[in-house]
Amino acid sequence: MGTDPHASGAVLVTLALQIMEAGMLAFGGLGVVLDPLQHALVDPGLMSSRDVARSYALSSFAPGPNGPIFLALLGWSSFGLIGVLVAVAAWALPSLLITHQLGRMSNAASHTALGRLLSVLKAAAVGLIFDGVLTLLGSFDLGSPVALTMQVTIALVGSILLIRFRLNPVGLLAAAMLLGAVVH
Amino acid sequence: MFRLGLVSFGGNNALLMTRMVVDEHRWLSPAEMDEALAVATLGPGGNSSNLAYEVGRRLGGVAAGLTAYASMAIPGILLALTVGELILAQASRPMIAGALNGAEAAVVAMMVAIGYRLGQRSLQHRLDWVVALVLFWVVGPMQGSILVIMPVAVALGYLVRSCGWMA
Repeated sequence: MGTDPHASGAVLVTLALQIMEAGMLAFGGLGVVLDPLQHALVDPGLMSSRDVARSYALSSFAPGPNGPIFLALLGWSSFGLIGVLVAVAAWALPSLLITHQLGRMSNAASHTALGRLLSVLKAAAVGLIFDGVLTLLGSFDLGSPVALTMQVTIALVGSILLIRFRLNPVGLLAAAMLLGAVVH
Repeated sequence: MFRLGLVSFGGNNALLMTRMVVDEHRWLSPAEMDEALAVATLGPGGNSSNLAYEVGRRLGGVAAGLTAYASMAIPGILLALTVGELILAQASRPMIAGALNGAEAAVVAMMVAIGYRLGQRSLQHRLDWVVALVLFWVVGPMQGSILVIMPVAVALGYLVRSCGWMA
């Protein structure tokens, strides 16, 4: 596919629709829809698989939310700035619309029925947050006992420090990165 | 939000945002922040960007929500577009890989802390524990579809709570 600054509007619309569909189904984040999204973009020739892989690798290292960064890089790799805007907007629109509606509903939760529903939704969110923890634990460096021990120690001690002593999270992040750089 | 976007490795910044919005600036009460976090976690897409939008929306409407969303994403997008290749080229160096491993572990600790914080206030009844554990187990270890299990669990939980079967 490469970099074609004169990509047709029709291709951009198709790209936007594919990303929007993925964004609508991305309950749990980008990882949930990465594989189907890759097929939807690569199979019809909208992107190369190399562009997708490179964009995902870059987005994993960048600070901030993975989804918009990944889509911005994808858009940039094939369509430049207009690609960034279209891809990020297409990704953000479904999640923002649904989040917006859920948020408005929770604002009105003083009503008994909605309050009950919100209580259940909060409980569901707790389960999903710990699923996120499980997913991240799965990506720990199992190949190196030293790295694994360090990661488990940081995760355990860090959790206790954050919960019991209300440690500044940025301080924990900085200390963990420093420790990781030293004990590699 | 721009500042948070720069230090939010791993995509989850709920704890950082809670400290900023609730503890430092007192823009939202802890209960309001819990609601925003629940909404952000349940919506599709990334939790951190959804949370930025929801906090912004509660503080200043849709425009503030969109501004917060953009402020969260723009630093990472700019960094990835400008120095991303450099970072990628260095990522295999042991020292850089070690630092990224450390950051990943710190993000786990932050997620545990925010899950604990939300759970402490939200899991008040046996039913809440059942819903949380079922979702955790089916979506995580069982690899079930969140699209199927979440509406079912929430609908059943709502019905049970409405009928007062599990207090």
